[in-house]
Amino acid sequence: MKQCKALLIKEYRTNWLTILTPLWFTAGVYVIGLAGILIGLLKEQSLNWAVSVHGVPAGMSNMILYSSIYAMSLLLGTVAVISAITLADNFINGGFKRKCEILHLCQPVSLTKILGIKYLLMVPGMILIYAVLALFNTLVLSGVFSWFTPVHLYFSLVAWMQSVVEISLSLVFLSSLFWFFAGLFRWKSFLMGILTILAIQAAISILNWTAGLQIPSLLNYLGRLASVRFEIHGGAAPQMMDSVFNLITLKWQMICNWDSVMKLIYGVLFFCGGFWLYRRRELS
Amino acid sequence: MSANIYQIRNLTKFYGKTKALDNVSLSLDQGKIIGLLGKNGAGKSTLMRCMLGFLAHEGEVLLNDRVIKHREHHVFNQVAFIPDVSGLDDRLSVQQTIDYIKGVNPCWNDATAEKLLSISNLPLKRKVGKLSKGMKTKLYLLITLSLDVSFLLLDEPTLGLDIAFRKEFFNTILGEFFAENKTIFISTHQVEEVEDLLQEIIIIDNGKVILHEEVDKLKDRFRIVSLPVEDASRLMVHNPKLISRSLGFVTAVLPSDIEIEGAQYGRANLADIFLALVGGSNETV
Repeated sequence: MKQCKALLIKEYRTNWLTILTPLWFTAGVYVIGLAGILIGLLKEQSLNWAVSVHGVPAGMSNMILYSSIYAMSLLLGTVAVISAITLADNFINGGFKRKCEILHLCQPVSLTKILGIKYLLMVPGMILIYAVLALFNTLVLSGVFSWFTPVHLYFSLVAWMQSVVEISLSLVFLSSLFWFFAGLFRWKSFLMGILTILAIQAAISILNWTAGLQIPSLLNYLGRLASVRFEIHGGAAPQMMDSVFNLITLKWQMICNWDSVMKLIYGVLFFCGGFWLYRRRELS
Repeated sequence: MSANIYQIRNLTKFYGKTKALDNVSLSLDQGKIIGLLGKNGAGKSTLMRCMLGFLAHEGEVLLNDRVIKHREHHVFNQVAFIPDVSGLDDRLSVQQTIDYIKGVNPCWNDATAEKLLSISNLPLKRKVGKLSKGMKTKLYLLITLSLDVSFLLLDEPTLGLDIAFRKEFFNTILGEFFAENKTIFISTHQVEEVEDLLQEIIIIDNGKVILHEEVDKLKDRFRIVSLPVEDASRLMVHNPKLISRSLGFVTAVLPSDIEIEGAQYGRANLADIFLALVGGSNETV
């Protein structure tokens, strides 16, 4: 336990800038937003100059609130996913690049503990930071909405929960994929990983074209697993205005599918693959 | 009688097609200070890294009769290592580095650490990246010597440091680490500085161990032989690997049992013997 605590603190101290990227992003957005409001007030404009929601039906307000929080959380989630991918390379190859790998690996600590702590910070740690920040944003945005028009907090919290679950699944999949690539390539693992995927896709396309095979596209499949979709069809919107519940149910159905299970399975497989590759490395 | 703490059997290591270690077999005893000498690229660092389980190889390395597997962390319950580069994490401060090693390494000895810290003058709050090379080495030495281990491996630990600091470095190691039940295995280019410390010497050349002997016995086996330049041929018949000429004399290191009439003899130091055995950059023959 003492070793785990020391490893956790060390990883945080050496990577805190990247670990807290979602916080820097959120703080940046607030600073820019507040600066905008301040400038507006200094120019003696009313705060209502940017927000005009008077007369909007209650159902529509909730729909706008739900959609806004979902979109905002997805934006922050994208930052969290990029941070986790960056961490994957930092955690696996950072010591090697900074020539301090031997110091860390000359301690009587098992690789399982060392890599387990790194993965813990990269995936559950990043999800926790993202979830807390997204919740804070949700409460702030709900407060702002309720200032102008009556809205129900329930829709805000459901939007937050759904976006956190969906982003978390993508984060597990993508960060584990690039964890694997970081184990495979010591230098430029992100770029090399992308090139590997493109090379496999090219090979598939050539095989399909020359041998008349029907191998499915790897890029499409990875894109499907990596992406988070948020769709409100124009035609459906009017019916949903009175029933945001339909949208919420539809979203839960989109989250609870086989692709989500596969994201978790791939996450475990890529973690194990990266671990195995790292363990086989020689230190010089 | 001292016990073998490390046993190396038929160790061979390839980097691609290059053979870095060639069938190396060694036994390193407890309670000794052992020097590892070799030219650049002779295989010194590779040997040390194989002894730590860092490299995959052919043959066996045993620590206290237990085979060391590739990337096995149990080795570090008994062995500490100082590499040839500073190797500290620049992102941590001095205090954070100490706290980290203290937290992850159960061999940490608080009393030794405090004693070393009190004489080191290390700025605890400063980032490692902002320390001088000497300070970094001092910190590495502190965190290594604060571990209660029985074997210390040093791979060119004073590379790039000034002479005063090198002297202090070896004095600290002798004073704070060495004891009857502990072993120091050190590879260095500054042979003259460690010559008086070493009890055994291992010379490695082109991946092969060409000599493993007690220093005193080795020094008795060789001596410096000098003859006037016009008598050089009498020296050359003994095929010395290295000769030098100065002030009208030709000099070489030869086995002590070779007697040459009219020659002057002197005691050879380790550097002379090393060059005589593996050749050097002077006047080789």
